[in-house]
Amino acid sequence: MTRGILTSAFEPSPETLDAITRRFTKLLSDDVLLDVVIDARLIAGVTVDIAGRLYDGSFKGQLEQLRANWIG
Amino acid sequence: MQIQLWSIIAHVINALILYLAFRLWLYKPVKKVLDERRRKIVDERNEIEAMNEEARNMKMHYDQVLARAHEDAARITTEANERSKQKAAEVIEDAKRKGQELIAQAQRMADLQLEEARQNARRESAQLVIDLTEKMLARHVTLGDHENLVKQFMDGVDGK
Repeated sequence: MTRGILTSAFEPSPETLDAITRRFTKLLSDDVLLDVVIDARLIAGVTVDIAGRLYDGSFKGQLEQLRANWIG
Repeated sequence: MQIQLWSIIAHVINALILYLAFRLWLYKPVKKVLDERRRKIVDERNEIEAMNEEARNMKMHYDQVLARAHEDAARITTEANERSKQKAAEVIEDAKRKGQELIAQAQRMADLQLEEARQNARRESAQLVIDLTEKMLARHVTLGDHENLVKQFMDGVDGK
């Protein structure tokens, strides 16, 4: 069992939480349990911090990536 | 008129005696004095000639020395002028080189500052655009946008 943190800009629906959990279970080839945190600073989207790695699917993360590319 | 022989003889003898006396006591001393004086004059003239010759030689020598001194002075002056010109040319060349280096250095610094200013402007502009975008997204994002983003995230999560 691998535990992780799902941070979401909005409260995820049970279906969404289940889909994300299954996706990471398949990815890590292990049972996954996600703790949910709501953070409006993400603007939209989610991040998953699991197995020592941060998977970022949020607008905030995209903006940060953009900032890093432009500003350095 | 009767000529008295003895009187004539006496006169002749008298004349001879006078001649001999003059010759003995007057002519010889005067001649001696005159000879001495002539010799002295000749000696003095010779001495004067010798002195004149020496003076001419000395003058010639001094003229040569003076001519050499003039030549040396002219040569030294010419050499000094040449050295001065060469030194002046070196100073001017050095000043030009340093001036060009300063100009090049100033140009490099100006280019660096311009590039830095450009980068700062680009960085500030990018920061401003991102900040504005973030605020606009925060105002206008919807739950649908969020769900679409989550869907995209799950589709590409194994590629990240």
